[in-house]
Amino acid sequence: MNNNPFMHEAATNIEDSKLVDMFIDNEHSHILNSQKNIFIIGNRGSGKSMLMRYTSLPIQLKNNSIQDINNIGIYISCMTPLFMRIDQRLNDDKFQSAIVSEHMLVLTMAERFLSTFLELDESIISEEDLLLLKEEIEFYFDVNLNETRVLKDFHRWIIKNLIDTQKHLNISPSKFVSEAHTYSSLMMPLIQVFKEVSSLKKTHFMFLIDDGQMLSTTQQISLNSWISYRDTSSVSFKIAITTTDEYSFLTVQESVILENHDYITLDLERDFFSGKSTFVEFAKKIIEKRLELYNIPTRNVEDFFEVPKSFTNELSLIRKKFINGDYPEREDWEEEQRRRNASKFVRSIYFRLNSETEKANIPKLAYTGFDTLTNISTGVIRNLLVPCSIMYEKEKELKGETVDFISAKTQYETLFYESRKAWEKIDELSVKIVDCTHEHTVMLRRVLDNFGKYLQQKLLDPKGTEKKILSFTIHDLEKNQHSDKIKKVIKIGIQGGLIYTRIGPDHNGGRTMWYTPNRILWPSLNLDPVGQNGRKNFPGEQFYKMMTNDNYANTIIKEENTGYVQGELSFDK
Amino acid sequence: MINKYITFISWEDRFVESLKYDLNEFSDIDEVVFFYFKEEKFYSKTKKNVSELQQIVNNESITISIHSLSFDDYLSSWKIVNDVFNEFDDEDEFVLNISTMPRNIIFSILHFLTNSESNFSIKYFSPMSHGNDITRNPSKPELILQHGGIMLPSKKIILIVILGHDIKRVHQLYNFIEPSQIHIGLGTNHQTALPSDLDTDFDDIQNKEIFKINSFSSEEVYSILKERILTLREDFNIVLCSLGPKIETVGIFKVHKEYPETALLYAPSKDYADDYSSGTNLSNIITISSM
Repeated sequence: MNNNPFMHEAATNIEDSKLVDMFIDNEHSHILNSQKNIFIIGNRGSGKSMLMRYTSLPIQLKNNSIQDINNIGIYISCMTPLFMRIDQRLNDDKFQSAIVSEHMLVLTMAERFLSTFLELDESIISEEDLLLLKEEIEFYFDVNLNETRVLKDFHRWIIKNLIDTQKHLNISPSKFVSEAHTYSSLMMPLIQVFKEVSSLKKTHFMFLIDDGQMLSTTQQISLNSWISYRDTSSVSFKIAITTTDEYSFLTVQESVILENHDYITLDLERDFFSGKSTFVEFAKKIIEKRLELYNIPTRNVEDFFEVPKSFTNELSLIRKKFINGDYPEREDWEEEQRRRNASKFVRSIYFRLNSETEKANIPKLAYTGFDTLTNISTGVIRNLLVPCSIMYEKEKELKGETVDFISAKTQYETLFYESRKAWEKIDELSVKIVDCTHEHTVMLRRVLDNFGKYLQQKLLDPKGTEKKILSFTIHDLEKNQHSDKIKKVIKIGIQGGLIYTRIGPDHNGGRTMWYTPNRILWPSLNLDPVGQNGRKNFPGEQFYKMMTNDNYANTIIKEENTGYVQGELSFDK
Repeated sequence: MINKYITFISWEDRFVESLKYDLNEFSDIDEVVFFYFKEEKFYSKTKKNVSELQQIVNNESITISIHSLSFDDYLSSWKIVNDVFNEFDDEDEFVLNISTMPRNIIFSILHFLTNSESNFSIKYFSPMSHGNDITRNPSKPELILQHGGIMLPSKKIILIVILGHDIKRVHQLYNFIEPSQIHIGLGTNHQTALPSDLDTDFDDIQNKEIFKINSFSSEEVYSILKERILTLREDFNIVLCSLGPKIETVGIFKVHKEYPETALLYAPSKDYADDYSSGTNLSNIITISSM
């Protein structure tokens, strides 16, 4: 096992026992364990798969976190070439083609359903109940099962069906799979049969469908139709998807499943954004858990990520001087007012003072400490673990095997390096993201660069009103003639992990989409990644100009200074 | 007796030069089958050659058949290729010039040729040089029809991919199917230099194994992939993908035919540069006469 406690691995590749050790429970797993249909939304690295796997029965039993089996989670990964197949569409009959798509989905669900029970060290089904299962399964599915291996035999029968279906699609895809199963013909009777088992009479089955966006549109439509039945007394579906844009919410009847009626939504990233303290606490638990698991002598995150005394002393001095009115920032306020608001200004003054000093104009020490790291992660655990992992490796090279803390130098050097890499990787998105063109990457770079330079001027201007805006909104986006182009560029930013979104207040007291660029971009521009929940509102036309013109930030600032203000700044209370 | 010639219309020099070269070599050809993509982004580059096919072939006894395929709709392209092959006779023998043919079309044609048990030879002409910025803007990866393998939900995925000039394209594939492991083949006989710092180029990719391979040798591609498949097939769903020179698709197809549980994946690029390649290296023509 790699001894780097922060090594980030896809949740789907983590062993069960390691996952149990590493998982940090929060309110999300309680929500997931309800009888509701739920869509779990979050980009790569947001913790969807970890949460889904953690909720599955084998891991719950390993963790001893359930005393009864009232809720059984069956984990199904859709990240498989099986669901990428389009061979069935060589059959010109669209209905038959859709049935074959559903057939592959329900066979996979049945296979995972049975595997879940077979994986358990101790069966939760008595011998008497196994005989009951044997009779019922044989009746419904016309199979012969040996009484000593009822589940194993039926599992084999399902696998054989799955293999035969794929062979059929490889050889004669234009012909219908005459033995095709549907949810009604396979899953409903199967669940009904299992509900006859004495220990499972009160059980609720949860199908944990991970990466639902990878299902074909017809499979998504089938799944939505099952959700639209709304009867979740025996079965519910928890579907993890990256974004709502990549999933069809249509049903077979061509209606749309409705949020809060048919399902509820759990947005992993937005929940973190809306409460900074929640995320900091969550991140702290994750890091401290890993320090403990890997026997790192330092268990406290604040001690593990060193903040130099000289830096904290300097901030204390700035604070004192600010309250005293020694700086141009808010010199017109009463001393008491400055005291109350000091925390909002101290770091920005530190950044300004550094920028004005000829020799030390890079505010290196501001990029140290656990608080900075959690801010830089922009609310995404993967963005926290990746730099931590690199820092750990660097530190190991310097100190040998035992790393008991990460020095300030290693921290800021890593963050500057990762920041440069994040900017460099914008150009590569056109070879990494489907349907992203070179032109899109040029526009994305411009918009991020212009926004960063706008923030820079706001941060360093001592008379500036708001210092730490790190998000933006776009006013009247739908009405703008370039709306499609703007949305496409933002979507690529989101897919590339460079922009995150959440719903927040708009300038009219309504709700709108807030966009937060990945804060790892900001060390390269000497910006402070430690921010507040403020946002800059750009009119659609101005935003389009930021996408199409280099150095447009200066124009925006000039317009603001001459009183011609199109956008406005506001803060989430 | 080889009597049918199949090629894909391109704006690259080697399309015309290789066709002329082969028509001289195979005197019994009675039909040349041309495929091309109808979408404007490709057709704007190829239309000159499409309109001059008669002059290029320059032989009235040879029938010219032209079939437009869709880059955006692989399913319809597959059906068109299927229809074309339904028209051939059992005795027909083929030369398949893959030099300028997209990989999904190569795999599709190899499917119909091998299914009909036809006699065929494969020809590959290298260019004299490649441009610097040759492909970009990837589209969604697609499984080759009827070659999606046999995948089991209990097994994890391994992606085996052989790279060409543009090694960054592996990231798109990796992000798209998130395999538990990735085996990256780096071509040793390329005109472009191999990356100097593999850790930096692939640092976002975990659980990777990197191997060197002469991707211009279909036999080497076949044998190296076979060796890997044999050690992995029990425990993993295996996905094979080619991003290197077109000729490597032949070795990949051959090994896939032997292990049909593996899946063939195609990662398309939407845009090809006008200076994708120049010239034709007639001193290094690769011919494969059997699979």
